[in-house]
Amino acid sequence: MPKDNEKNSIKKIICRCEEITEEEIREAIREGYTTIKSIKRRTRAGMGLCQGRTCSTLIRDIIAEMTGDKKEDILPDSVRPPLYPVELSVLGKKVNKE
Amino acid sequence: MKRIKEHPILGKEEKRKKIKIVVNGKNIYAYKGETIAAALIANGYRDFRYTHRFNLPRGFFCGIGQCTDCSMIVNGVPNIRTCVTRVEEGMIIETQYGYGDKDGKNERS
Amino acid sequence: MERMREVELLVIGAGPAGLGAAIEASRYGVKVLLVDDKDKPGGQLFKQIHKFFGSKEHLAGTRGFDIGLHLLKEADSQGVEISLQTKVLGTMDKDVISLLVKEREMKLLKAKRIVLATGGIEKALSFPGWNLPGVMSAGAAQTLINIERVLPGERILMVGSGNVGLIISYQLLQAGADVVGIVEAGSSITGYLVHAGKVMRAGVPIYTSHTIKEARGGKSVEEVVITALDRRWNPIKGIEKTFSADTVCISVGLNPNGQLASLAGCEFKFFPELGGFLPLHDDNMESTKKGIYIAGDLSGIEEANSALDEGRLAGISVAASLGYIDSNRFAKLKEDYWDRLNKLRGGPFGHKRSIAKKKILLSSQQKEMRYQEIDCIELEENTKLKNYKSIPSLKEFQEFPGYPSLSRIKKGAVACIECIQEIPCDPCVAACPFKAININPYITDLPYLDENKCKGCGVCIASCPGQAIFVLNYNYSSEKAAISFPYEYLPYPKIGGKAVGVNRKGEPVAEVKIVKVDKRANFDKTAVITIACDKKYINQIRSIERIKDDA
Ligand SMILES: Cc1cc2nc3c(=O)[nH]c(=O)nc-3n(C[C@H](O)[C@H](O)[C@H](O)COP(=O)(O)OP(=O)(O)OC[C@H]3O[C@@H](n4cnc5c(N)ncnc54)[C@H](O)[C@@H]3O)c2cc1C
Ligand code: SF4
Ligand code: SF4
Ligand code: FES
Ligand code: FES
Repeated sequence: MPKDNEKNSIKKIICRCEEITEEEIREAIREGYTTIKSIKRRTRAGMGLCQGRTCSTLIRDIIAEMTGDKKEDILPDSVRPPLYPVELSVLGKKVNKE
Repeated sequence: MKRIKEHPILGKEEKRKKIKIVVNGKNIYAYKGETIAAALIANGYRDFRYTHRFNLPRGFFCGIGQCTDCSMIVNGVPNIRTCVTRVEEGMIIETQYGYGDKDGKNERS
Repeated sequence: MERMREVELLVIGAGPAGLGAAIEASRYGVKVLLVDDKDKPGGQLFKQIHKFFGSKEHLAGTRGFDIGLHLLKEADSQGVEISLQTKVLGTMDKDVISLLVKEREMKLLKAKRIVLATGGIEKALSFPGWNLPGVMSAGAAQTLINIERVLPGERILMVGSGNVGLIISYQLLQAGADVVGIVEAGSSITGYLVHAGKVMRAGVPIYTSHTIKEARGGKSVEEVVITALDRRWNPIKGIEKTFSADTVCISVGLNPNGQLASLAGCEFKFFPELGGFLPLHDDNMESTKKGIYIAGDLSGIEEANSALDEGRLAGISVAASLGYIDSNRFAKLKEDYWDRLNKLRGGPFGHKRSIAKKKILLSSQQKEMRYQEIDCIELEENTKLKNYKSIPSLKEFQEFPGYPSLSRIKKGAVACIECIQEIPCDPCVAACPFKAININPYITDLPYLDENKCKGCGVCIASCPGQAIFVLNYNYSSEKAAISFPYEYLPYPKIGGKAVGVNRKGEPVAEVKIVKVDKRANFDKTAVITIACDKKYINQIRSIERIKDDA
C-alpha cells in the first residue's frame, strides 16, 4: 500500500487500524471481492491489530448494500488464536502449567 | 478537560496520591491508579498519535484496549495502549507518529 | 513434569452472567475458576451508577455497581476462585485453554466444563471524521466519567437513542457535561421512554429521523453536522444542523462477543433482534459444542437480569451434568429459571427477543419447548410497541392507569406515575407501604395506581429507576400547589430559593419556590425535591432547570 500523505479528514475511513477508506472497500467489491475474508486480503481492511473487531460489521453492511446479499449470509472471518496480541517475550518464556 | 470533583451519586473525589509524568517533555500531574489516557484527557490532551498512512490524529476511542487508537510511546516503547495502562511516577509519554519505530519515523514530517 | 491444572468448571467473563453461573455451580459443589480480563470483576455492572430496572427479586431499583458488589459477596461466600487480569487467548490444542495473566505470564489449563459469558462489544458507526480524537464509543465515555472521573468533553453529541445512549447521556449530565443533543436514525426513540424522559426534562433534545453527517476539527472534534433522514434513511438535502461540540459518543448497539465461542467451534446463527451472529444454545444453555455453555449478552444482547438468570441456569446445568444435582431436582430448578426468563422477555420490548430465543432453541434441535409456557398468541396481539418520537402529550399520559383522576388530584397529595410502556420493571410496587401500586400479572404490565389507597407519601418516587413517579399536592396552600420529583444533579437547589420549573420536555414554564429537598439515606442518593407553583401548572411542571455550578 503506497503511503500517501493526503490529509483529508473528510474521507470516510472504514477500517481504522489500517486506514482503509469506504471508497477503497467499494472498489474492491466492484472488482468482485464480496466476502469479508477476500476484502481483507485485497485491501487489508480487517487486518489491523484489533483483528477486525471494529470494522467487520461495517464492511458487512457495505457488502450487503452493494450486492444485495442478506447480512446473515455474509459470514464473519474466522477467528484465530491468540485473541489478544501477546508480546513475543511472553510467548517465548516457558509456559507455566500450574 | 475537567476532573469530576463532586458527583451526585459517586460523592466527593477520593484523595489519591499525585504523581508526576512527562508528556512530550512537559511535566504534568496525574493520580496514582488512573490510566494514562484519563490523565492526559484530564490535562487537555486529546491527540495521542498520528497515523501511518494519512498522518491524521487519533485519541481515546474504545476505552477497553481493543482499537489501539490511543497508542503512544511510553518510556520509549511504542504502541502502548494508554487506555489500559496505568500511570507510574516519572513515566515518559510521547505522541506516536506512524508506527513509532526507531528508524526516524517518529519524527514529524 | 508437573501435571497441568484441571478445573471442573472454567467460567470466562465475570459480568452478571459469569458470576451467576459461578455462584450456582459452586453452591452445588462444583469447583469453579472464574476469570476476567479486567482488573475488577462485575463486567458492565461496575460502570453502571444508575438504579437498574428489572424485578425486585433481581435487585432492581438498586444501582448497578451495588448489584455487582452483592453478586461478588455471594460468589465469595460460595468459595468461587476468581482470577482477574486474565485474558483467555483461546484453546491451544484440543481441550487445553491458554490464559494470559497480567500481560506477563502464560498459563495452560484443562476444564471439564466451560461457561462462556464474554458479554457484548459495542458496534461501530462510520461517518466522515469518526477517526478524529473526541469521537468515542459511549462505553468509553462512561468509563471515563464513572470510573476515572474525568470528563471526556464539555459539549457532547450522543448518537443513538437506545437505553445505553439515553442512560449514558444522563450520566454525562450528572458528571457536569452538556449534551447538545441525541440523534436517532429511526423515526422514534428506541430506548425506554422513562429513560428518555430524564434527559428531556434536563433539556436535551432528541432528534429522531436524524443522523450524524460529519465531525469536523483539526486536532480533535470542534463541530458536528447532523442531517435529517427520510423514511429509507437517506439524508434529506438541505436539512442540516451544525453544532459546536467537542465530543461525539457512538451508541448504536452491541454485538455478542463471540470470538472465543467461535474459536471453540460453537455453531453460530444470525439474529438481528439479539445483536447479530451468536452461538446457539439449548434449554440448558449448552452450546452445540458439548460441555461448553454460554450465557448473558453473548447468547443475545439483553439486560442484566436475564444475563444473571441465564448464568445461574448454566451453572445448575453444569452441576447437574457433573452429577451434583439429581435429575428431578434439576428439572424443577430449570423450570423456575425458564419461568423467570420468560417473564422478563414478556411485553412488547421483549417480544422480538422472545421469538428469537425460541428460534435459537429450535435451531439447536430441542424437542422440549420451554416457550410454550408463554402464550404466544396473546403476545402476538399486544406486541404493537407504541413508539414515541418525543414525550407524549399530557392527554396521552392521562389515559394510562398510573395517572390519577382530576377529582383525586383535587383531594390532595397523590402519586402520578408516568410510566406508559410495558417494560420489565416493578420496584415501585414493593416501595409503596400502602400497596397502592400494582403490576399484574406480568412484570412487563403497566403500573396501576389505586388512587384511593395512595396517601401521597412520596416514598415511591426515589424507588423508580425510570424516575417516572411524581407526587402532586393540589392543596399545598390556598394559591399554590406542590410538586415532588426525583433529582440527581449537583448542586442541589436551596430550600426557600427560586428555580425555573420545567415541563416534560425541559421547557421553562414558570418560576417556582423550592420547599423541600429530601435526601434521606434510603432514597439512595436520589434527592426528592418539592416545589411550590401556581395550581394551574400541576399537570405540567415535572422538574427544575439544572443549576449551573460556577465554582
Ligand atoms: C449503559 C448501560 C446501561 C445498562 N442498564 C441496564 C439496566 O438498567 N438494567 C439492566 O438489567 N441491564 C442494563 N444494562 C445491560 C447489562 O449491563 C448487560 O446486559 C449485562 O451486563 C450483560 O452481562 P454479561 O455478564 O453477559 O456481560 P458483561 O457484563 O459485559 O461481562 C462480560 C465480561 O467478560 C469479560 N471478557 C470478555 N472476553 C474475555 C476473554 N477472552 N477473557 C477474559 N474475560 C473476557 C469482559 O471483560 C467482561 O468483564 C446496561 C448496559 C449498559 C452498557
Ligand atoms: S405516594 Fe406513597 S402511598 Fe402513594 S403510591 Fe407512592 S408510596 Fe404509595
Ligand atoms: S413506575 Fe414502576 S415500573 Fe415504571 S419505571 Fe418506575 S419503578 Fe419501573
Ligand atoms: S478497524 Fe479494521 S482491523 Fe481494526
Ligand atoms: S482507546 Fe481503544 S485501545 Fe485504547
